[in-house]
Amino acid sequence: MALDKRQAAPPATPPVVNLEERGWLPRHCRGDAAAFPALMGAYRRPVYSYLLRCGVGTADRDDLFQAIFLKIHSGARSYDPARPLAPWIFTIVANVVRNHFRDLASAASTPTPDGVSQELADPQPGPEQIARAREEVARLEAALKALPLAQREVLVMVTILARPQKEVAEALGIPLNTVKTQLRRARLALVKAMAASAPATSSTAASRPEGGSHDHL
Amino acid sequence: MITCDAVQERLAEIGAAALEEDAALARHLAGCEACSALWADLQALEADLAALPEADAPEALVSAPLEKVRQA
Repeated sequence: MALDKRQAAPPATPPVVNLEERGWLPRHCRGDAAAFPALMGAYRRPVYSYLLRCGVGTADRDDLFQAIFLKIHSGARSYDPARPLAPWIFTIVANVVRNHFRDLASAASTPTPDGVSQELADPQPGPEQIARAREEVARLEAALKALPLAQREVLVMVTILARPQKEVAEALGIPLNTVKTQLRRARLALVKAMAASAPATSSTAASRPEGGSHDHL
Repeated sequence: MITCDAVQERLAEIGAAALEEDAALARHLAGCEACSALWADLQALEADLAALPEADAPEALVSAPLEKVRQA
């Protein structure tokens, strides 16, 4: 669980310096036909997941996915292989998504709720379990979509894509402290939203005493 | 002096590490219903987020930019 990462981190998940991936774009620029497919193979899932979890609608998601990899291709010469590849790629990804939502906002339209949970249902469990799981996932997706983009992009990168906070700060062009602040705000907002949308029978924070500023010590 | 707001913000920011780093926070959590409930909700939320189904791009979507890049 990401909240426990600082507790569990030291030997379990040492930062891996992937030197091989730093060579992909230079090799691509030199005409190595295998380099770009290798890059796409490694980044197609995190990029697609980022688009999905940031709430980009299905049709736009496909366009943005392709646009991102074409931007990676066209900008390949500006990548410095002395630096990690992931933040460089996620800077492009984040900017494409930011521009997308900016365009949507300026067109006075809102992202279409596209029921991604329906695309991703596990075929194994029975119908009732599927329905329940879909409902839970749909509630979480709806709560995620309602977050401000500045919180959503940080939360998706850190919690769902499991990217290190320092890398996320670099990719998004924001200070590390801002990453932490946005994470905190996003988590608290999601807990509140999930409690508010929970079915009436479950015991949730909705019926709990509010956290106030009173002392307990 | 530690308040519920301070405890909850710390838990939301760094999670379990807050309990290790701050004994006063841990003591507060043990005796505060609201903060304990919030902590349970935060842990459940993190598990739910981590368990969201992974998504991958359809093959056609991957092959289209690859083809364009090959032709470039």
